[in-house]
Amino acid sequence: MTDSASKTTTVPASAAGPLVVARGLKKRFGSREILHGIDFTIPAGRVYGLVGHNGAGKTTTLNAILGLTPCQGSIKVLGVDPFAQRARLMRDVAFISDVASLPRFLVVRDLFRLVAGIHPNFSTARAESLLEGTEVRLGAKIGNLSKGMLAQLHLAVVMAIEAKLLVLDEPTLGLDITFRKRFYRRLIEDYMTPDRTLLITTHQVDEIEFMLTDIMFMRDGSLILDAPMADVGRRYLQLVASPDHFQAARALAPVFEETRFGQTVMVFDGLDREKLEPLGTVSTPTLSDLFVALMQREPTAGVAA
Amino acid sequence: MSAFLILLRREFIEHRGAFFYAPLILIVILTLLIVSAFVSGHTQFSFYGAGIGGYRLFDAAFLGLGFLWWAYLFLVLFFYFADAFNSDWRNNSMLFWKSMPQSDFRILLSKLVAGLTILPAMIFLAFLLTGIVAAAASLVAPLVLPMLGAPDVPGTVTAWLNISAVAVCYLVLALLWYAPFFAWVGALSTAFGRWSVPLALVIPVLFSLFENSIDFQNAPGGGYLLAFLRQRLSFNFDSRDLQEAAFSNAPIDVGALIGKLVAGVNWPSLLGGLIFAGVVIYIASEYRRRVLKSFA
Repeated sequence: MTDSASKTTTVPASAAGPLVVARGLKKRFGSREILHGIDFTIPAGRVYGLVGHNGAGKTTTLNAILGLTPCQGSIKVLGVDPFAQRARLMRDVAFISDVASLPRFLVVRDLFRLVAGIHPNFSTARAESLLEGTEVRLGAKIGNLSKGMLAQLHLAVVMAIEAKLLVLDEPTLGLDITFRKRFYRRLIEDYMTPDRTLLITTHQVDEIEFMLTDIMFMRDGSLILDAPMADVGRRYLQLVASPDHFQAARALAPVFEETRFGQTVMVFDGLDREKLEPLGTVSTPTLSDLFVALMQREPTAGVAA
Repeated sequence: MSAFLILLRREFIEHRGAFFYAPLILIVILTLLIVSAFVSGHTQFSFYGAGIGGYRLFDAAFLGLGFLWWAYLFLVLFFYFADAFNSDWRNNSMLFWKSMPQSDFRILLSKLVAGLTILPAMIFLAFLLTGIVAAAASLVAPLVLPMLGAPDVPGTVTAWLNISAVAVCYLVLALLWYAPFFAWVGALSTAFGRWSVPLALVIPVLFSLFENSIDFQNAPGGGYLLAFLRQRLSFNFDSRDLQEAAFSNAPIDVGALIGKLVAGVNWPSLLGGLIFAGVVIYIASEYRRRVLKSFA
């Protein structure tokens, strides 16, 4: 079992183009349509956040990207149809859909041997080095590890794979704040390179905001926002309106309004900061505030980008 | 090591309880029973007819143990196929295996091949070890049971080799013969989990009932389907040949027994069964490829 000698990349090189291209992506379970013909493009070297309520279609979208489920419409990942060529694609794509999915009957050492034997781009030495400093021992049975240890182990496995795209679906679900922070810090410090792309979904959106380059919001099977973080910061503004300027602020058509601790907070889309500043305190909304705002906005045609 | 061999190894690790540890425990228990019988003097042996050598006793004991091991193997293999093809879902590890660059067909094929090669090989090794224990017992037995005559080391070793040769031949042919049934159970397990155990029997019976309901007059006893299954479920080897060989005074004729084994196989039917096994495993792999149960 070689670690470095047999590193292979068999998916056609499409480094110059986007990693993922989806057009009119639809998915139906029985009579219920889960994805309503979504379009998106994910270039290389980005960190994408995919955020949405439970049942919004995030996991179905990820499953379509990973070739885990057939869909209508068109989707190409690294230039190939992921459902038709999942096994081939997985040489260059790594994912964690559930940290509890590691085979529990194995010990850690056997897991590494096994993955090294069936994955040409996996490095046992790197996986072992990634476990240094953690409480996970090579001789430990996976079934006996705590949830935090499982997350660390699973992260070590995917980070030891020379992948172009890493997809993480709620990777820190059920972990405490210490593990979550360590998890994301390790991901950014030890894994991300300019030619790698990371796609991540989580409900703890504030915890990943610092690492994102792009954000996608999903609602009811549709993308309601797909934009670089820099654009989001420029485009959306939050106003804590002064009591005597409520009506003037409302006249500027906020996309969201709520009262927090006695203050009226409004979120505006595409408005000049200069117009808002006389009306109260203006700031950039956090991702979680923006998410709440856009989730409650009346649906409009097309994707905000 | 090739990826496929690694997948076979994974099957062994996952199911080593039934195919390694349990046989090992059974051998230890058997050995302890034999040793305690000799140590405590609780040995009794009677026979009819002319005198019998120690190695003839060994022949009978080894063959009898072989039948017990075959029954054990058949039983655990049935439950292996009913379990292993669904275990990735049941253990919640399906998404992990799907993140590996291995197709669903390759994964299921590795389960089928493991069930027909390395896992039975483990039981065969246990059978051989049991033979060594039985050989040791048959060499010691004349010391406490003088009627058995003098210990015969060369005869016992030859008998061990002869019976092992016949047994490996029987095992290989029988596994190939029954492969379609195991594949059928495995394919059902992919879709229905442990319900495959009753369904493996219920589905053919339902089809047979349907056949009888539309063609009762002309069908042979029980219908064409049941007649075919009866024929296909019996491996064409007369165990009386083995019994006669074991209890006769002449050494076992390995060539003759293996010749009977090979000649008794319906080769077109065996080949058809293997093709059927491949087809059902392919269909099961397509099901596994398309259905993510956790989201269904």
